[in-house]
Amino acid sequence: MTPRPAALLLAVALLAVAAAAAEIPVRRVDAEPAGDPQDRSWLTLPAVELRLLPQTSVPPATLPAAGHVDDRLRVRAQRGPTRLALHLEWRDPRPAKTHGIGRFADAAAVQWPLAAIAPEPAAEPPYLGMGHRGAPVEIWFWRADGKRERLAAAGFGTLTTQPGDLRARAEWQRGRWRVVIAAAADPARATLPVAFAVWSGEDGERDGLKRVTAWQTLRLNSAMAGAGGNDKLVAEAATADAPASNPPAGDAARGARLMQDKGCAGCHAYPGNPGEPATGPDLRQAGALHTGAYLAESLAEPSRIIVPGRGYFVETEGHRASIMPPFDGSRAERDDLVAFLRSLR
Amino acid sequence: MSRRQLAMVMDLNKCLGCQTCTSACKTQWTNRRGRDDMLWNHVETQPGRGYPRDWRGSGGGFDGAGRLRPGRIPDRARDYGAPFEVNHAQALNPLGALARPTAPHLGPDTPPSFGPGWDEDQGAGAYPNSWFFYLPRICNHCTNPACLAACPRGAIYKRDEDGIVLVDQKRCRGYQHCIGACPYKKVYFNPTFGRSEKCILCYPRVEQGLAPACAQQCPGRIRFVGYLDDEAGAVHALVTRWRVALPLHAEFGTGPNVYYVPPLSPDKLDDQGRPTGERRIPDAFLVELFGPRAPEVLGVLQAEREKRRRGEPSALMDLLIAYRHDEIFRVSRRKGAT
Repeated sequence: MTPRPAALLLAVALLAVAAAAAEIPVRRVDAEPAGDPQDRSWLTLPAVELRLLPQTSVPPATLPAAGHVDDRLRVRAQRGPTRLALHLEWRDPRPAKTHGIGRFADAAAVQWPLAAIAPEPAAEPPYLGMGHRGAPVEIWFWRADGKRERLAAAGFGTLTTQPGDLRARAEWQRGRWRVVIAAAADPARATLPVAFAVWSGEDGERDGLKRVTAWQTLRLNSAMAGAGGNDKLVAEAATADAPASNPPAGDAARGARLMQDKGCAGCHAYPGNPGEPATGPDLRQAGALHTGAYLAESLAEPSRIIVPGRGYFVETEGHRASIMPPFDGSRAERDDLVAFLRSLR
Repeated sequence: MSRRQLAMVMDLNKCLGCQTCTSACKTQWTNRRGRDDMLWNHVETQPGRGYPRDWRGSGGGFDGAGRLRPGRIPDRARDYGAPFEVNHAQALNPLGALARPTAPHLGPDTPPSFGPGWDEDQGAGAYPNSWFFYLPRICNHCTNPACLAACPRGAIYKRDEDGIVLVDQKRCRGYQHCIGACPYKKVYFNPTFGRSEKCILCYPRVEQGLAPACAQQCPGRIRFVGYLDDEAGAVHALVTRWRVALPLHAEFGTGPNVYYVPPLSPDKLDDQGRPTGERRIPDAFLVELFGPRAPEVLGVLQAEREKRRRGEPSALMDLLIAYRHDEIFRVSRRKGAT
């Protein structure tokens, strides 16, 4: 079926902007997905629009002054007999296509848990910032100067190139980048947690200076749904992020006061905290980047998933422990804190 | 901080500005494969803009609280001075000249606006009191390297055995945070490989017991090389015993390990051409570069030089004259070995 332009417009317009845990359907195609990002097969496919947020958890963090014109990323996905292809589209009025001394090219990347490719998926997605120790992510990286890489990481600063073919084609036209990133992949699961990053080279962005999405859900072809994957966590994340169906139990205003009373404000920067401490991760968009379940767990067990930033943990005999003490308050207080953190968007 | 630190002392009283050190370094390490623009070693004229342009005001290093100060990455054209081609073919090709009698003058294809040595010998002051001196610069192999602190990948490391600071080419991803963070702007970006590179203090030579190429080739023998804790070495003698070798811009907070013997200068002359008793190179400028002890060091140098003039022995002058290479280089790993 070939939708008429009007229908296409409608389809795009109807998709809500998702800050967290949107579902990205993967269309199954008989031939391999088109490599050309302007191909009709891509542009007629409905896109899921995601919100891009500046990376502020770990220095070097994205400067608020960077001249981003838009915080939307449109994602489409197709899957052929052997290849999985992702189509990314975002606004960028000034393309940066060269990389050199003090010059950085635009770039984009997609990540998912490395273990997710294997039949036995991890119980929960890795830390959003390129995974954490023991929970690696696979990354497909495209850069506008022609660089493309398959990478793996287990936290900031651990990127390692991986063998394997990765195809990427990009087109900048009328203020928009359209990029297709594709590689052979056969995830034996119904769903995959997936997250994206975009770099604006002309703003000096590279490395941790970037914009990211929260974890989303890549829904693979329904024919794959019976393959026995564990998508429980993803479902959980989705409900945690749907305020209507699962309203936060706590009270955000009480949570804001607890941030001061419980000492959180001594280490974390967030709106409403007059100090700008950098002892722990910046929380200014914690609610948009993370699920309530993740935030609650971080409070209760800070050392379970440690943000892999310098100085955020101590390491003894190879074992890492967060410098943040576990939350010692009541369940209700914890809910209030989570409600407050969820309000940071 | 490393267990030991290999350091260099440069005696600015003897630097000729001949750039033999620059050539030695370039032919050894940086004349190929994306390094053509790099000068791991160079000699600049001070006062001047230096190289890269205005590096002294380019930020980087640490503030008083030990936090990294923001620094800028030099611009290729404006601050390094992009290399230009010369129009040999158009200007000198005889057939071309016949065909076109108005052949262009021989010259650069794009008008250059900056480059290494752009303001060479320019200096400051007016005749007869104009002044300048040469400042050779390499990586300072800092005790607390800002480049290392700025790298989010841990790609820069400082060797425990000799304190040499190196960029692990397998880990570097070319983010260039190190380039902005280095207050001396001595880390360079290699566009061919997309990674940062810098002076390696000739560690393959050092490991063979040889001095770095820049020091070995220096015709003026201005460079002393040795471990700071090697009490039998010239570096230890100049830095710790005589205390006449000073770090460059120590206030940047990185603990640089290249030390300079500040330059003495002849007296300023009055309008009758008579010496005024005031040094021609202003102390204030040397204090800016080498810290508050610079005038005191100049006093020591002056006194020792006077001794020698009177025919008295001066161990310091003998050391600075550097009669033999084996007196000024002690790079063997073994403590106390010659």
